[in-house]
Amino acid sequence: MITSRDRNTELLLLSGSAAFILVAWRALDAAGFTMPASSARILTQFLASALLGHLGLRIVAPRAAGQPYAVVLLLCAIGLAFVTRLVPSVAQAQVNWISAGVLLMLASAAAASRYPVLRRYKYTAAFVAVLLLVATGLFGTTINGARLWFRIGGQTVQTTELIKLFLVVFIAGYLADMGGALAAPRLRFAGRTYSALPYVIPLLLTLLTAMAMIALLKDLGQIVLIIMLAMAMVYVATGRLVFVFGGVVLLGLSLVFGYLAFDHARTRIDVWLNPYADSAGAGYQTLQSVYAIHAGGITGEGLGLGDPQAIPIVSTDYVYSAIAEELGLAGALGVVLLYLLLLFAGLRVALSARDDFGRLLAACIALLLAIQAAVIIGGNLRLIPTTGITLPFVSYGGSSLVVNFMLVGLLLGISNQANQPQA
Amino acid sequence: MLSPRQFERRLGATGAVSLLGLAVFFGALAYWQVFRSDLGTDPKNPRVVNALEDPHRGRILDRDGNVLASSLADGSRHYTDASVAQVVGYLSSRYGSQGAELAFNDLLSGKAGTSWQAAFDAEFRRSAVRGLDVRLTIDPNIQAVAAKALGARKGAVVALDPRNGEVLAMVSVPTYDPAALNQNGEKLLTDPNSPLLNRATQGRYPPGSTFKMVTAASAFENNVITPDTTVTCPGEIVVDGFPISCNNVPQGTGTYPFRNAFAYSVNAIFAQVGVTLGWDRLTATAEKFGFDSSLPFTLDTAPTQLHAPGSKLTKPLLASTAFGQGELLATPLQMAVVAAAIANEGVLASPHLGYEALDGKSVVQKLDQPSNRRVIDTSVAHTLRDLMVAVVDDGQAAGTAIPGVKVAGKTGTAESGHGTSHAWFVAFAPAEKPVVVVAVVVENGGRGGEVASPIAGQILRAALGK
Repeated sequence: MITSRDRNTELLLLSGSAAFILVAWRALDAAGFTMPASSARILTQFLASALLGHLGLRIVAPRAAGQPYAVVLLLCAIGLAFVTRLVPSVAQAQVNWISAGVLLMLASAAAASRYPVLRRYKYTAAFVAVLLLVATGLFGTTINGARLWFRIGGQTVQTTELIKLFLVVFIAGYLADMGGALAAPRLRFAGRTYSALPYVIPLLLTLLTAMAMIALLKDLGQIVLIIMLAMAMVYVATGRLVFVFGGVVLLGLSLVFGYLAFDHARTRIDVWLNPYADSAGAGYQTLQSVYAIHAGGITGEGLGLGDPQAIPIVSTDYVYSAIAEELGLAGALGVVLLYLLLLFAGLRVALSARDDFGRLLAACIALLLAIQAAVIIGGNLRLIPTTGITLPFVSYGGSSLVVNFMLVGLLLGISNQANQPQA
Repeated sequence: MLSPRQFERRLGATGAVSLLGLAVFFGALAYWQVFRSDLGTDPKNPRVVNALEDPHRGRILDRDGNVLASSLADGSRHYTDASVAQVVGYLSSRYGSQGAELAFNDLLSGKAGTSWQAAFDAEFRRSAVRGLDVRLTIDPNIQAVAAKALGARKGAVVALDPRNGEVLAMVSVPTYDPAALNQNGEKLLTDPNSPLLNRATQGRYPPGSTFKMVTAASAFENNVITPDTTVTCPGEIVVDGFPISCNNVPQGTGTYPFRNAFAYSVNAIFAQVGVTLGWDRLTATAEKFGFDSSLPFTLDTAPTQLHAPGSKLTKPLLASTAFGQGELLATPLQMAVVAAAIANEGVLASPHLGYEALDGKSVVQKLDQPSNRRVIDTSVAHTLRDLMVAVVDDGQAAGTAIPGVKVAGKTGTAESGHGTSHAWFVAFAPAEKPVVVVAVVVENGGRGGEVASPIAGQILRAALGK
């Protein structure tokens, strides 16, 4: 084991998550909340997993930045407290997923010591992502009206979460190769100029294929997420705002297309504009979310003392509204700040990386998590239509937790490589 | 190859955009959690109904501090007086929410108006939040007299103080037992007599001749006529081929000053005045009194109307509107407001039901501060008052004369479209310095001056202590 300043910082910051989960458990108890039978085990398992992850990082990525893991664990602590409070029966499952996520994070951090290899497999990654989507479309399991899941050994896996791993590799790898070509408006070669446009085509084609597949799987939230991520990444790689503009147009077009082509998308947009039109039907969930957020006020009703269960599917899609009700503006803004911290920590890793692929991969991971959080929080706050994607590390859901932990593992691996003493 | 400097600048720009996002989220949270206070009393909000089951919910009191509603230790709500059932109201997920229980839910449940100390204790010491007590402006004596006077007859009574808009009594019959709402709510909800409806604020009736107060006010303020103008009614008056009889009252036919047309309520004369005024001027005056919209009040009020939406504005419709029929619909509260504005020298003190919020014995805040709005000129108000005094002095309103007190009133006998007419009477006293306004409507009761006016008389006497 190597002693490192980053790891010591991490340990110090981790005490925050430990304090939070202990206080949350005490608060739920004081609120007269009936804790799940295995509440002591859940608590112990969470604390043990947190410590295990920390000790593991001392071995596999001792020089990695200290903030990302600490911030992620605090988000997990908030998520576990709210999942326990909202659906006590799945609290054990949630902490199991956190434990699994921590282990897979260590694995991916360890493997990431050879991350430059991934660059070679960018097109393979894109192919696998599309293949996974096609397979889900053909053989997948339908839950809540959307076919997004795959059943493997009695366990359902959400494909649209899984493909994010492949997508970040593709986007970062592709932009690392082609970024230079895309950055110049005109290419000069042997006295002639060529348009850069053809270089965008593979990227656009892959993204459009993935989006079309996801559209068929009816997961419109993921489409918005992918467009926004691609937009931000092309800007980061090329510095050309014209691509951002193109992304905005694409986003607008896909919204219009979704509105015209998909009934459920139209319902969501109509409900977003006027939930009162069908307050007992389609608008019910949105209205309940708004009531819950309002009830929180500045300091919240207190953990376990509100009525967030009035919102249907609260533990996955509306967990942020539940946080806003019980922890108030103070707590809900705190959660936003945590994602901002995670983004900034990720961008710092990107700055420290020594190769283009590492820089772009780190930025891509940080932006993916931040944009996903922004899209779901924006939906809960009725700034945009609701999307039904998960709040990273907080919402109940195994696939999303595990995949996000693996992404953070990759980020930490890159950071560890970047901070190696120069040979 | 990325230039490190450029890359750093782009990441910096990305970070700046994300800070902008933080500001947007902060704004959205503040909007929902701090500024949208209306959501806390939205009847669709399940927290509103849950608040009723809190044993620490505040009590609802009448003006003298008598308890109208209080919570027992098991969280059930106890109500004392069925005659104020629709005013006190209820919260229910199955039957909706209404009345003071809904209007003052934030105070009663302790979500608003509590002291910093109480808020701190609730937040950090987990002590139960005690709701505030809410005192209403309802006067128990006047309320009891009004309920007894109306008896079992379907209808409504509103009594208010024209000087400050405080509602002193509000009765709606038939009423119901609020304690039994959970057992027979379904039956109450589908009862054709609508016992859950607060007829005083939500019942929409043709106002009949009580509307002549508005037509006369419009005629006076537009200098179309004076009380001394000589008018003639030959037997009937024809408006665009549509005949209107002078003989809706025995004194109708002949030549007399306009004041008699008001006192005896001659329809044909008011039809003529209305046609002279035209839709624009009559509508303008009526809207100043609050017509064509929902009257702002502590409780929800039904919108009143001069004519049905989209109706063709013909002269015959104008003529019948001017004497109070046509497609006119008004709530008893609206007609009380017309009289209150006249009584208070042309200035309307907005009607309200909340008096103050109490923490134990100490007053935490005054509720529903009235706002004053001039509706008609003082001189027009005085002229109308004198005409209304003549109605009672000439014996057109049985049972309202009080020895030693001048009473001003206006009768109404409104054709209901089915069965016997609705009986109306609107009055205030003492005429020179009014302290109470009463509006009475008895559904299918018959003549206003025979059926509704004695009820109003009893309430006036109770309010004046005579």
